[in-house]
Amino acid sequence: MTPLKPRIFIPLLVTIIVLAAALFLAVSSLIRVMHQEINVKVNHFRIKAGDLWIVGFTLKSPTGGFYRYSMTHNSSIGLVSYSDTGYIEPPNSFTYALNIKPEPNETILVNIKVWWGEQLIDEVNHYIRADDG
Amino acid sequence: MKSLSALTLTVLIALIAISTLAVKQTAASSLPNNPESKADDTLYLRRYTDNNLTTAEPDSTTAANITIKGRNTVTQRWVNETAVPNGYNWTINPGTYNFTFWISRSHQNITVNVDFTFGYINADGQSTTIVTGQRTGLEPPVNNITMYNITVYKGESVSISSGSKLFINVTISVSGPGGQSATFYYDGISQPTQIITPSISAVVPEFPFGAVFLPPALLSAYFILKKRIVKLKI
Repeated sequence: MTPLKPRIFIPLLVTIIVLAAALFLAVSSLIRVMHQEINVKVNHFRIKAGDLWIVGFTLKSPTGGFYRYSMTHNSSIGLVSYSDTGYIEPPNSFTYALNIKPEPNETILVNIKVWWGEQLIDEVNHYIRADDG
Repeated sequence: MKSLSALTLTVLIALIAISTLAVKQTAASSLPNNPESKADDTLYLRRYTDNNLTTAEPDSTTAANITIKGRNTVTQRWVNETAVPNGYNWTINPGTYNFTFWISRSHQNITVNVDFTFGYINADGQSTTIVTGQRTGLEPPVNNITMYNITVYKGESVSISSGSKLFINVTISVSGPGGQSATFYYDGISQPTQIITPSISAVVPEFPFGAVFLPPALLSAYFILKKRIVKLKI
């Protein structure tokens, strides 16, 4: 087997090093993106402001993507249901808030579900009473 | 050996720059193509000088009264007349978004649900929601125009890029007898409808280092490689 000439061997070695570096970068980017996709966060909140309750969530993701959410709650007019979809553009987040005013001694059950793409990632029930706080 | 190190370094820089741009390009092209129709937009939203955004004060000729009959839903959009100025990005600080609106109803058997969405449309026409707030089961006194608020607290700041336009979507749904109705008022005088955002800062956009360094990196890689190939041929 004839050994490679040094002037061919060195560029070949450089090319291999560069390709290895590129492969490393590609794999690390892929791992980072996969990690970020899992790292979608939903922070729920319930705040009392005067006689109103502000109930909702903030959805934040390091990568862009589509979300869907639904909210249902019982009320004097029956079951109220609401749902919508949207797109998150990092670094921004999406916040949804329902303002409700329970009657004295009334308990309102608010159910909130959040999907990331097609996957249900979060579900929370809030029990809201006028005299809580 | 020096030229080899330079070659390796240059090629690496070029690869990093190319991959960075490629990732950005892929992300941009993966955005849904959702151009916003301007035909039905009502251009009332403006920015005031006190660093908060509020709705404008349309005169009586541009004020809108939207009547919705029972068991129906209507959505109306308002877009600001001027975009976020070129050369600046806006940052809306964390805080409270307060939407004030006025409604009336024609009969005591109907109730009104109102939700508002506040967001922006970027230069590519992509619509992004910042906050959505909702109130349900509203029962204003019959034939009496009544004010309500929707409050949303957002603990995160929001970045809006240069050239974007802001919008408000308002959806009003009415439950009750079909022959009855509710009216939503969008007005700056007698019923001053408005959204007040947290304070807004204008910032100069980040300098695009990747785009600036890519052409020289590629050029140097080309010349160095060309030199090496010529040497190999000899």
